[in-house]
Amino acid sequence: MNIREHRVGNTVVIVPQGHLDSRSAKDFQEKVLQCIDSGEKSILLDFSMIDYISSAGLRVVLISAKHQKEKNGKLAICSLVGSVKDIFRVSGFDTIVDIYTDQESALKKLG
Amino acid sequence: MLTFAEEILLLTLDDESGKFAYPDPTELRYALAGAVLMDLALKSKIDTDLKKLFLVDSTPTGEEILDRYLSTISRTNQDYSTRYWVTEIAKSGDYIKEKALNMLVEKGILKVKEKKILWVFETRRYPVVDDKEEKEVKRRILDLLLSDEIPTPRDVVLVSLVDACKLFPKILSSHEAERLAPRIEQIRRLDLIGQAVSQVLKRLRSDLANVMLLHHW
Repeated sequence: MNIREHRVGNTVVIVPQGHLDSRSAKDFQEKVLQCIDSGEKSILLDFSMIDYISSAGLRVVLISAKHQKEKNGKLAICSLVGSVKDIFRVSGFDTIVDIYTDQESALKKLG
Repeated sequence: MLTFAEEILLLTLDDESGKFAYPDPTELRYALAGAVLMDLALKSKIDTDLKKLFLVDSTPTGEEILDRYLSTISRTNQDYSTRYWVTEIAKSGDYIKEKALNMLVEKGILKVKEKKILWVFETRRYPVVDDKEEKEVKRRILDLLLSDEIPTPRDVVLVSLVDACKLFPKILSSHEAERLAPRIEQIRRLDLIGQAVSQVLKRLRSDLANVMLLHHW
């Protein structure tokens, strides 16, 4: 899985590309947890380039959100599209993690 | 670590008598089928989305029950929905129950007590030897429900199965169950296999209600 990363102010923006499923979940989880463990207090997962997510992908989001909350940091998601948006809605992940329509509104909120 | 089938069975047993406090054996079969699929998913052997369940890795887990169904799924050439697999595996729900109970006995958590009724029919009871595991499962669920903590994937599965089996009244008072219903709903929805088990059971209950209504008329 190709995962890009850049910083905007105090926030680290992680942009994974392609399918987030059982085959790519491990790489993505390692990347996000590494970022959390390095002390980053504000992390944004930009899913604009994710065209498919499975249960395994959702579990990575859950584990990352839990880990970051335990470290008193913020983790949000933005730019969900298509079936990815559907799966987040059906599974109610928006009640666990803050979800924004685009990067700009997410960054405004994360500060 | 216990499998989800073992955890659910512990919660359905009455500690002292060793009888199943679970009201409906059919529903238990579906919940146990869901438990098997959830264990396979957390071991990264299968994966699911809103439409289907698919094989990821057919290497055996070393757990007899899980490997039986992992092998069945891996022999299938077509991708089926999670609901299909819940229904299919539930057909051998009694096997899962027997095997999981045997494992709990082997692990020293339950003991087997044979009892003869009218000296003819033998019934089997499973009194609890060590209730540490059961208390631990209940404590985990309660801690999670009473906090705004983000659950672990294992916690999500457990809440989802307990809810599908309607076991919360056994763990919570009716007042607590009512008060915590939104939190239970929030956690339950996070697991797609759990959602499939709930949908299958909902359909089953609705079909049963229709049959009873027809008989009534």
